Amino acid sequence: MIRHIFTMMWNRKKSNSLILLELIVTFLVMFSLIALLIYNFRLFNLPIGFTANDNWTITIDTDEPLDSNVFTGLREYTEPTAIINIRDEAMQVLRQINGVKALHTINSLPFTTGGLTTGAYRNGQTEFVGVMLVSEGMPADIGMKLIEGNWFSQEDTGQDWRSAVISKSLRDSLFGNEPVLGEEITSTPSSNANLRRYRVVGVFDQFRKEGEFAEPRHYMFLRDPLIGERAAFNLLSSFSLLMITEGVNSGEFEQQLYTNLSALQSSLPIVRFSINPWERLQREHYIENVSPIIAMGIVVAFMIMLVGFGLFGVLWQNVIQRTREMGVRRALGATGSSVRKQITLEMVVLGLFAVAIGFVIVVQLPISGYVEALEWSLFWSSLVVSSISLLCLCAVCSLYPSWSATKVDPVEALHYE
Amino acid sequence: MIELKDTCKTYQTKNIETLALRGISLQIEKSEFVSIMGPSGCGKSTLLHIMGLLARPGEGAVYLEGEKINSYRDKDVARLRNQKIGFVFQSYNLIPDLNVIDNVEIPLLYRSVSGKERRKLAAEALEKVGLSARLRHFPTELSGGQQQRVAIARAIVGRPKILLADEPTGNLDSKMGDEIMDILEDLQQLENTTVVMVTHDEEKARRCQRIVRMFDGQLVH
Repeated sequence: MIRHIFTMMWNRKKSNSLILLELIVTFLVMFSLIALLIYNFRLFNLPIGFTANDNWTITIDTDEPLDSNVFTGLREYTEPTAIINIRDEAMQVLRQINGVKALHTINSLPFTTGGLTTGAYRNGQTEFVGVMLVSEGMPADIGMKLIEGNWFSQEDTGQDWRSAVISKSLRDSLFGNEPVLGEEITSTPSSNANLRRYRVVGVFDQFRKEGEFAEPRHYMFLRDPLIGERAAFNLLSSFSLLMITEGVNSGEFEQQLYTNLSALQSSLPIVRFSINPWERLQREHYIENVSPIIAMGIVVAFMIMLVGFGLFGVLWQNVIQRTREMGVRRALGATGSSVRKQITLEMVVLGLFAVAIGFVIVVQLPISGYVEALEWSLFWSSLVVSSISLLCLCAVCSLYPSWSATKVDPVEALHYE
Repeated sequence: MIELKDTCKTYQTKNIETLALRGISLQIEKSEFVSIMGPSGCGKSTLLHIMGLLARPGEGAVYLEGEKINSYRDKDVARLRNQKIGFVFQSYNLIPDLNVIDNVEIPLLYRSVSGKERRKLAAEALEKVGLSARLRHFPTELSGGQQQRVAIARAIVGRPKILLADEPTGNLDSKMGDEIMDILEDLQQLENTTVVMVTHDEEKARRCQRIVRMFDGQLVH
């Protein structure tokens, strides 16, 4: 029966060309949406390497002017005393609030893009890495997992290199299976004035600052030196603090923070401050990433619905046009269920043609590498899911027309013109 | 082979009730070649449809090889049609999107016959009607006579015991009509197939063993 239906659909290819085109377009749209969904679902299920609960970032902008010299004499540059004073005073005030377990400096907000980046060069290979400047104890306090070596400490200060804790992915890229602890990474291959040297003291498992929906990237954690390195990254007129809390009511705690920081603002040259609980940042990150997918999903759902109605209509009309054929088949021994099976299979076979043509189109993406994120495993899983979805759509759309075909009275059908 | 007892058939439309058959009793013997004649609208085709199990009688009984089939379920009736009865229609009713051999194979699709066996049986049936050279042609590429031969091949491919032909020569010129009659006669004589043919053509009817005449839904003796 299958071969018979393939033959018939192939012979009808000209009259089925429009419906086939409609199915191909539907397949391509389904494939795009499903690839996007699977891609994001996979990202979402990867560990981010830290916990967001009970963490708050306070960012304080001051009116201290930038010194243009910071762009030249980087290593010798010392942070303006005024900034150090403001930060120290702010930390002192915040530490006194009930429920604050630890306070750290941090250079960038989680669940946001942007932040510091640098090159990481070793043995002719350069990787692009994100940099976190944090105070001692911060990685452990946010639940990061160290898999080799140690976190940095005060002893690293005063060297002509900075101690660095790097992500496992960076270690794998630059070192492969070689030992990594004590090895050096530089910011650039050449020994120019901007060269910065890092000595690897530890390796952590994972850190995805940009959140669950961002592609994992290499990261390097440096101890926030409060001098030199901050200048190199142009972090002079503002600073961020990370507060780890314990057993606090979020609403009341935030209110308390506002009160204390407002008081600080009146006594220090603070231009503005912002309070960002990490849970809120995470929630906003979800909304920001999931909303476009939902919007696209709604558009695609409407499109599929319209295509479904189209297929349904065309198929129904097709059945009416073929009333006589149905009558002949019944006269030759077809049962109602074999007629129903035939109509459904015809539609599914048409769907298979659409999948075959669609495959030839979409396979160009991983072959050409035009869409970087669409690697082969994502491609195959998206192809399987979108193909099954399209075939199901075809089968569902043929339910009523195939049922109505079984109701054709053979005698009437044979007289049908 | 086929027996009808006091068979009545009424067609009901919105306002009109048409009595197509009025108490027909008829017996067709095995290997008999019978023609049914009568004016248009006298109920010939209805009688043929009831004998071919395409329509159910309103009243009376239909027996096929001694078995009363009135109460058979649709599924069982379809199986009987497929295995015991072949149909030939005036307008051939070939499927235009399928070539000759694919058209002939159709009745075998509804049996558990392998693809290879289907091809073999279809080719044999086409050989019987002299169309071995046209297996890959489409119906539109054939003459009316050739199309009717394909329809006969399709009707006999499953080796049915009964062949029902509804004006098989009605759309053909007399030469082609005679060729079709030759094939039907051969089937009846060489393969002992029971052939029942509806026709308007007195000359063609005379080539049959028995003529059943109808008028206004009744048999005329």
